[in-house]
Amino acid sequence: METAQKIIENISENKIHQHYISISNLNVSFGSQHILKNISLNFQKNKVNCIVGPSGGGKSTLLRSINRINNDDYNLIINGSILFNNEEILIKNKDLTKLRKEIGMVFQSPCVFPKSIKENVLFGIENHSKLSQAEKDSIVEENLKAASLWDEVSTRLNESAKSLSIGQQQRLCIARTLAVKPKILLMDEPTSSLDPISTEAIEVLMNRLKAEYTIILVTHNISQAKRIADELYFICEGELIESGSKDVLFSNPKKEQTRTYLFNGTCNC
Amino acid sequence: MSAFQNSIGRGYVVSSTYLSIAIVLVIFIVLFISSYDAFSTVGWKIFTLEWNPSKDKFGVLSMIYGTLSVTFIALLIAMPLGVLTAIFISEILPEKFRLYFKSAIELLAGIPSIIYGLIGIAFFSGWVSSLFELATGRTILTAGILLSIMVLPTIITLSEDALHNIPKKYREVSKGLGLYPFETITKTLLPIAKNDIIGAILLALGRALGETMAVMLLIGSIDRIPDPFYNFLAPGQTITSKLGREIGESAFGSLHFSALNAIGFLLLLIVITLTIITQFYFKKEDRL
Ligand SMILES: Nc1ncnc2c1ncn2[C@@H]1O[C@H](COP(=O)(O)OP(=O)(O)OP(=O)(O)O)[C@@H](O)[C@H]1O
Ligand SMILES: [Mg+2]
Repeated sequence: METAQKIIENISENKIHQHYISISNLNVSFGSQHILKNISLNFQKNKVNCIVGPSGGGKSTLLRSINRINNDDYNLIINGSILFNNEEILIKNKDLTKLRKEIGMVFQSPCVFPKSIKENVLFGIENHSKLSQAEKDSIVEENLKAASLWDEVSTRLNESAKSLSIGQQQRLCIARTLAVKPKILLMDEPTSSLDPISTEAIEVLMNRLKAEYTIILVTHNISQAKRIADELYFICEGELIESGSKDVLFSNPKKEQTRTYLFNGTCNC
Repeated sequence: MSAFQNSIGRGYVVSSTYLSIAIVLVIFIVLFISSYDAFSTVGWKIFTLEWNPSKDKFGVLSMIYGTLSVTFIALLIAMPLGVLTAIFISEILPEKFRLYFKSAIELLAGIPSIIYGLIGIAFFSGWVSSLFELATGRTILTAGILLSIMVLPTIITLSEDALHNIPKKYREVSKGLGLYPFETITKTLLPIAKNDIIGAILLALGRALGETMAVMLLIGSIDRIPDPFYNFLAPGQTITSKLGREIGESAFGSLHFSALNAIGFLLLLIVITLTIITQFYFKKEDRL
């Protein structure tokens, strides 16, 4: 009876923790350079999880470990545990293509393929499943709408993606990632190469997307974190200094370094 | 930069462009003038099979056939092999070995063609004759195989550059969307590098069409289209091997000399036509 109770509890707990990412004792080095030191944290489902910290602190390295896009990097050494959906990501024979379909990534500068807008949206999904023409059309429309780009490009879907502005290209990249139907979106400074208006468009977009996706965002921009973060993770020189909900960290941080960074933008760790 | 410097740079670019066009035109015109005698005397009979200078018969069909068929064989072998090797070096081989491989291959490109010809005579023709039980190993196939080896370094080096120059982020985006490494190569990288790879093949094509020495030593030099025409195990003749053999024995100003110029003119036409067709089909639109 008691065990049955336990099992039910476990199951419901699993349900709650679905799509959560739970990292413990993560260490990443490149050769002898120790980049991430004993990182342990949890990313929350359907939230904008925002990683902040000074340049070179290892934010991208952390993000790139979650979908193991750094797997082929020369002399990468990675230890510890990253659980996604209660499954270990860091095992040797992990199916990386399956993992990356579930954990999509948007890069710092937009990287569209020299193909049409439509072909760009379909690029990932087309390789994973056979699609009819009607399905293709609806996927293109649905995901361009999701990325708030549809109204601007609906009449020119067959034009080259290179003809779009940089801000539009970045939203196209988001649409392309969404089309694969990931559960998690990793975004590494997605607005750092964009103008304020495009930046705002993408921030609004992230706010909307978190209802369906779990977003893990790296940003340099503290005011951006203030605007859209739910959870905040402060990483400095490879260590997680403090994490918690945005409101708590901004109003009442436990660590002096966190306060200095969030209010002065400088780092004394 | 001052407007003056700017106009110097502009003048330099414009004048060198016009100079190259002018040189091509001059070659074209000079060749045409030297071959005019043959064209006007022989007329359409130039597109027949018999070549016999003592009877004033100058049919070039077997040489055009020979040129096209050795080039076809060479590219048939060298294209897939070259592109696959380029993919291997750029995408699969660890970076630290890459430069060794490339230098070794570039070394191959520098070997004079007569050396290839000698090696071809010493080994290839023997292998071909014993493998297919032929009286002579000097065949169209032998020349084609040797030619494929000679153009391989061009295709490998240039295709490898094309692939390797694609920024890393395209590979990461592709992987990030869940494509397998193989799909990343075929769906992402090859389409981006396509035009440059075609350029590499075009360069190889030019070299194959124009190669003289090695082909002359290996093709058997008989003016004949084999029967059936795809029997590449027969000896043949290319435009270049014909020129190489006979230009020395023809008297300057004779009809024979003019006819040899005429086949040179035809070779130039073939090269230019193939170049234009290829460029027409593969416009530069998919560039990064
Ligand atoms: N592939 C690699 N090989 C070797 N060192 C690397 C590699 N990638 C990152 N590093 C090093 O790891 C450290 C952390 O880099 P990372 O890109 O994670 O920092 P970051 O916090 O994202 O910085 P930024 O805010 O400037 O993007 C840097 O010192 C960097 O030089
Ligand atoms: Mg970074």
